[in-house]
Amino acid sequence: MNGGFDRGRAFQVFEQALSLDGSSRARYLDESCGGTDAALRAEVESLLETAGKGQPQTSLLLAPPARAVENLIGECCGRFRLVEFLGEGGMGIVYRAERTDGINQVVAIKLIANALGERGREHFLRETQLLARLEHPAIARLIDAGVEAGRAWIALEFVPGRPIDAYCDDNHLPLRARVQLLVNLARAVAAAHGLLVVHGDIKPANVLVTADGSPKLIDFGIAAVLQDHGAAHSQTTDIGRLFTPHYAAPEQTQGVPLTVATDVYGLGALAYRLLTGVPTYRDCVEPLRYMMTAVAQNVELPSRAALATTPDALSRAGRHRVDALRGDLDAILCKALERDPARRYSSAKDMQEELIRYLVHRPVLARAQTMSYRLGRFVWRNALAVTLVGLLLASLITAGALVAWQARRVAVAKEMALRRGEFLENLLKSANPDNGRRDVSVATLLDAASRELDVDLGNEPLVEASMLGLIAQTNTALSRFPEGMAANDKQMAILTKFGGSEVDIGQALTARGQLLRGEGKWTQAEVPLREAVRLLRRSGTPADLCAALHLLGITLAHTQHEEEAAALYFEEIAIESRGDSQLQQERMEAYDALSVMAFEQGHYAEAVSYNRQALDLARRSLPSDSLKLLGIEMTYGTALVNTHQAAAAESVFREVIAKQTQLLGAGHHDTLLTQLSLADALIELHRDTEAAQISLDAANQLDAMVGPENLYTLMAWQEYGSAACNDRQEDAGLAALRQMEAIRKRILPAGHWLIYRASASIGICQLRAKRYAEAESTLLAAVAGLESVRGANFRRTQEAYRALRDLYTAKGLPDQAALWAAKIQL
Amino acid sequence: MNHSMSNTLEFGALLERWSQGDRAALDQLLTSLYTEIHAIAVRQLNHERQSNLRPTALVHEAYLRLAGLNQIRLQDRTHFLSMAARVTRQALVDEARRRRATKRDGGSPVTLSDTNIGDLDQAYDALDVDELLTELERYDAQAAEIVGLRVFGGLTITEVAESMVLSVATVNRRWVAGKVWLMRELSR
Repeated sequence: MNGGFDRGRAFQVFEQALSLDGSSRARYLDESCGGTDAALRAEVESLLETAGKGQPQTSLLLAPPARAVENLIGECCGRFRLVEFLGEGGMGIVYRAERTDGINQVVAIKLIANALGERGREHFLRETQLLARLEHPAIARLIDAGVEAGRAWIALEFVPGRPIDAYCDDNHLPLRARVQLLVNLARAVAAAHGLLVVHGDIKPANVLVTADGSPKLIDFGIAAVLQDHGAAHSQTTDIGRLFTPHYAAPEQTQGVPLTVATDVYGLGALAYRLLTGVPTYRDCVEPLRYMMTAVAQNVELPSRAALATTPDALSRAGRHRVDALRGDLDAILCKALERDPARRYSSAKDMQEELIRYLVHRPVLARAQTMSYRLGRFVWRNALAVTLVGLLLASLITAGALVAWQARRVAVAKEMALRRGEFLENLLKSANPDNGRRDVSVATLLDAASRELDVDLGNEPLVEASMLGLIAQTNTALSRFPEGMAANDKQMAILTKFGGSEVDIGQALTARGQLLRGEGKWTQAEVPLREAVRLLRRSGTPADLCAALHLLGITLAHTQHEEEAAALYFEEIAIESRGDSQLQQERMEAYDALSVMAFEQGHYAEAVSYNRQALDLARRSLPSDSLKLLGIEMTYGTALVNTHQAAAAESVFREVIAKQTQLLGAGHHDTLLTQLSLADALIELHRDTEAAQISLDAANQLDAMVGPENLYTLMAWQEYGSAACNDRQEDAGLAALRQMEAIRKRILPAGHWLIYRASASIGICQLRAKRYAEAESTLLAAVAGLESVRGANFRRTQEAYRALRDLYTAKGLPDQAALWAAKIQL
Repeated sequence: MNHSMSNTLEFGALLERWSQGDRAALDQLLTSLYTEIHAIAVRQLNHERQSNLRPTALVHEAYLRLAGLNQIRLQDRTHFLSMAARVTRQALVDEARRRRATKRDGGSPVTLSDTNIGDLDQAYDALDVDELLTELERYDAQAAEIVGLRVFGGLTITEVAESMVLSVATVNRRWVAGKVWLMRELSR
């Protein structure tokens, strides 16, 4: 209690007052100290004043504390005399020096801090001699080196310039000019690499820019020379001397020998600083923290770092800068700053060329190889997945925050949620699509998300339910039906138990129908979808209702309730889109579904006209690589096959497959379906070997992906069986067809046209195998069925007619053959 | 080399035992941490012929020596740093008292300068810092602990929050108050 007031009380009042401002602070002080305790008030005011001064932030960025430097001016190093102290770096102190022999030459002399032994001395002199041969306009020349009283020194070309970061910032150099500077530097580094010299310590302080704007690298190769002998002196207490935070490559912090990859990283880190305005891992000022972080985490995306630190982020100039970084420069910098040296640019020259490509607006290679491109293309171009993954991340954070709001340790939980968001994002970023693990990354993300939910959201059921919904939908988009179903099961259970809204339940039921459809359980899908339509008609948004109507339509179409399906599609089309692009897309899809259904019914003219409508809408409003457009293009191909233009269909299908492979990957569900259509066209073109190969491949993949009892898997076996039979592999073909028919009979309602089609294919195959008696009975039964449910015009009915004509011709019964031939349309 | 290697192994094992709830391991951990940090501090004071120390650098070097780079799990790091902060304070104060008592170096004080206390180019007497923190502890143990972790262990706000199970916002607010108080007292 000295000074006449309670110091503890003063601290309390001070802390409280700190969080208030203006009049509320004054009021608080009046209340707390009143007029009675002037000493207390004075003390608090004085503390507040100290706080108001703030602490200069720059001190956080300083290197180790300046030590008292011995004054060496006037001393000699070889033929040079030190004349002016220039500064102190990690390696030692630097002086400006002049020749003692009267020749006019100014150099910078660097006195190395560590003393050298005899062997170190020899090594040092030998290595520096090699460095003296390095000549390049953008590299400060090493002029001489020596050892004086056990203390090593090097004389470098004196560069009257300023560090490149200060030069760029003070002159407000535009982005492209900075990139140009980096190109020049990369060129110099590449030249040195050609002479087997690695810089090893590329950072702003080691790149000086002269008055005419040309950059020069100083201390080239010195780091390596010293590193060789650094080990003997690792007694030095400051680990910061071994590497430079923000610029050292992660492996460098672990004492790995310097390589070309170290310099590529250094160039990347320098570029990061110059282009974003902040260094990499900007919070990791302490060497140890830098070491731990650089080894374990990727750098923050440059555009994001720039956004976070641009004070005028919302101004036009600020936005422009961030936008300019996004994309190509993000990709280039991230590639140079890969933690794994093997994944960086393989040389400074490669990096230089890449920066030039950026400057001349050519596509950069980094984007073709890094995550942001291929995974990015996969995720970001897939409209559905992008929305879902994005929402998933956003919601995980929000959900965490919601939970935190109720949790005991409020803000800790919030932190955890944010960290989880970062974690998932990192997961997504670190996925490497080059290794053919394209889908795994998103899958991993989803599984991680599901696990997080299990652990963390137990006491927030409705939040958990909506998260589960997103997980289910995303899994559906990725054809991961069992995982999706598991999430949907949980979601439904929670909604039922805790009374979810009609909209929530309707959406969950829609998702469930979609999952069941994906799993090939058409008949089971009908019930939840009907309920979803009922609920959403009452309280859903138009988009929700459209989605449910569409799925129910498809389901009914597959179970041969085509009239009802058509009615649903028309209801979908009739919903006023009011310019809403999602509803417009729903409308396209409705036309597309109507078109597919009409093809399957044999109503070809109708089908073609629906397809035209869908195609017109899609081509007008969707980009050429939109997945929806591709789906509609595929139906167009089907139209061509069904109207005797199989050759044209082939090229349509191949084009669609190429784009799908690029966007989704070769093994994606949708790509495989287009391959089946291609096989169908090839059979029409009598290229059966090719067709058999393609469809067998697709059948195996679909089998593995969605199981044998899936309609699409069965369609693949259908195509394969038919193609194989035509290709004189009747046994294999027949076996595949019989198995396929048996499954269709089991999972489809009796009298379904697909069962008759299977029978017809078996009959055709028996005909090829010259098993006429069997073929005759099979074909007659199939034709009767197809005629009754699809009509005589139907393409598959026509196929069966042709087979019967051939059968009776082969059996030497021309009258019967003529009977069937008469039914064939040309 | 062998010496430090076995230290590393032993330290890792102790951390493991401690994280499994072995209280005795904690005492051993603190003891070996103290020995190490004290030794580093003394060597720096002698070797560099100066009286100025950076607590954060001490802790980091101790970390390198005891925990190695990869032997330690990341989540143990915060434990390590918070332990080290406490031990460092003790070690520095002991050494400062010893120096003053023996009147070596003319009784010159051991001073601290670090990013978490004011400017790097300003130095503060370790004994003053210790005394003021002890005083603050009497009014407000939590604020004093936060300041101690920051000043002597170089922990970030987030790490302090994690270590003390507080929110980041709370730690930030309390740290600002505590630091201003400490700095003003030191400059009196």
